[in-house]
Amino acid sequence: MNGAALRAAGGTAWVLLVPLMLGAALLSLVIGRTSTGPTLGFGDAAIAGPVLMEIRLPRTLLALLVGGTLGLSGAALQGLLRNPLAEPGLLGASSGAALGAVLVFYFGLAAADSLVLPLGGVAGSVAALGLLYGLAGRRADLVTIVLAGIAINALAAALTSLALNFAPSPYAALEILFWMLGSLADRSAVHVWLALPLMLPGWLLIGAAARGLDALTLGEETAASLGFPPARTQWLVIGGTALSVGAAVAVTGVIGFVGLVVPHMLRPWVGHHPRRLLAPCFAAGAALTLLADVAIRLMPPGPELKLGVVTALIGAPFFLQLILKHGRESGG
Amino acid sequence: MPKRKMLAVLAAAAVAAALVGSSVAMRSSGARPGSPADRPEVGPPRASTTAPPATRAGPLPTVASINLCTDQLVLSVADPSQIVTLSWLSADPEESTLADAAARYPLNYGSAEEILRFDPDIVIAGVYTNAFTRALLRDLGYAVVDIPPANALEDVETHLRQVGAAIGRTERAEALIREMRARIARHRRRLESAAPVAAVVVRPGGFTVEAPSLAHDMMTLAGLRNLPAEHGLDRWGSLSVETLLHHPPELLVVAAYRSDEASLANAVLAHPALERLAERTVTAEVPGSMWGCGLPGSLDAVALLERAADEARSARTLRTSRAAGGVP
Repeated sequence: MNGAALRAAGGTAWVLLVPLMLGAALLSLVIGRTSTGPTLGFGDAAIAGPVLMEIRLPRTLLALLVGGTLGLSGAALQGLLRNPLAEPGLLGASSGAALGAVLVFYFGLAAADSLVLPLGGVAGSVAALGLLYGLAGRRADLVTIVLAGIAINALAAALTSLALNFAPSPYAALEILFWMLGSLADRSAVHVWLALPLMLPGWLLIGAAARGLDALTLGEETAASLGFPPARTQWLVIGGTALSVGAAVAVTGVIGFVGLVVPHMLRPWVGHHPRRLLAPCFAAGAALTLLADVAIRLMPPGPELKLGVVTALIGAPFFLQLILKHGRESGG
Repeated sequence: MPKRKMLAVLAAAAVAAALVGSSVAMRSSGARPGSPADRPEVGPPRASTTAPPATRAGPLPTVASINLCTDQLVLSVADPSQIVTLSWLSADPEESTLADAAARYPLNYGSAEEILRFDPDIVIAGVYTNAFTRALLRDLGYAVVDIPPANALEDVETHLRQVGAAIGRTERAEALIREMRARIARHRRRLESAAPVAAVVVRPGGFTVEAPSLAHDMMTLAGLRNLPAEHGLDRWGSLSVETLLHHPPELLVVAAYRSDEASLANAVLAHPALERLAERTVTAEVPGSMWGCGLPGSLDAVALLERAADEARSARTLRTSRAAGGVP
């Protein structure tokens, strides 16, 4: 495809994705769930206000912000690492946040206040990023960063399992396990306000790296000669991902697959330039997460499914199909 | 062009933030969604036609419970007319000792939106019930009472008092406590004359009873020595079958839980070595639902254990008399 055709395709993507995201958000606002199963609307006039404003709206906004963050950072990381398997969890920001939250559980603090848990998550993701920076150094090459990220992930996973072993009671361990599966259930506006101040600068950092990412597709030396030093692009993306994904995981737990799948879904459509992918990936990630969260509420009566389970259930077959299609095309 | 897209995304976020802001402002005005006084009944139609009449609620506050153990505490303490909903597990006989009573009420799955529709005056939850749900319910203006898990028999008294005080049923709670104390005293008197029986409780997943704990108290009160606790266990009380064979008990208590459903946890109970041990040991079954929550009904489990201890004692007498050469 030539440049003009791609731009046109990007334009249609944008025209379709924004209504999709907003439509999904609208569905998420009007579809609820009670003891008898899914409901449409907000119930009795007396409770409609609080149901909409205090339960559904924060949940919808968080699904949008978290899904958008995962899609955006997935696209940026795949562009930065020039590796289609890169995803936000790769750098250790997610597992660090998970560990931070689990430690909060371990010390029994989560029982005291629902805010302590996300704060523990944010602290964990910041610590993981600090460790990554310390391990990889300022001028590290990408391979070192990825390996350091894998090491941090392994360490955080091991420490999380250790904390699970020493959890104060089986009930606490069960809560930890549920939390690691990711959920948006019963989050309030407080959590939106906790995540947004960290997500916004994270998005801006990633946005600032957009041109640098495009330049990187021509190779590191060319990028540097074009005025985009790879090290700058690198730390912009890593810092932005750690901030925004750390805040997301801190509030919702680990929601897998969105960051990995969304860029792959959009690439055939808007092309391979990271810069063109970023914003559509935000919208598509948000839409996917919103729809998964709506699907949870449409299930027959019972305890809620966890969001991370549903995104993986939706994402994995889609991803497989993409891979198979890709294999057929390049093979034939 | 991408800059414009970023700006569009940011603008959307700003609109979203403004909406949340207005919701915060609404909350800070302290408006509780319609007080029970001006709204006779909200919520979905009662799930059961045999639901108790909600007419004589009178001065007693209405109660919702969102945790299995607090469901059963509420069922014990509350006036039936007070209860508007209990959690779904409480109506399952494998989980709950009061399943029949619980099944008469609408059940919930513990989400804030459900509770909002039932609109109770008081919400009773466990300390390990989803922290986000409890915080959101507090934000919505509900009085949420958190009850920790019982780690000792005395905790049951504390929890009955807490629930009683929260829902205006102090007298009922105190009556239950007096009744419990009398039953405990009767068990204690029996302990003075009976030698303790070495026992092992096998729970699904190879768990046994750790000490100190509610279940350990129950065993002690029934005249049982908690054998695994004497030989050191990890903090949740995992028991290896090997340890069990090294220290054979006089009484094997099986906490049966969904024994007809396949699970790794129950596979431990079907271990051949364990089955052989069961063949030559006095064995008793106490339903799994009786071990998890601290309730007045925990003493029913104590009574079952005490009967099993007596059986083990008579088996012991039989053994020693045989060993002494058949002299009666």
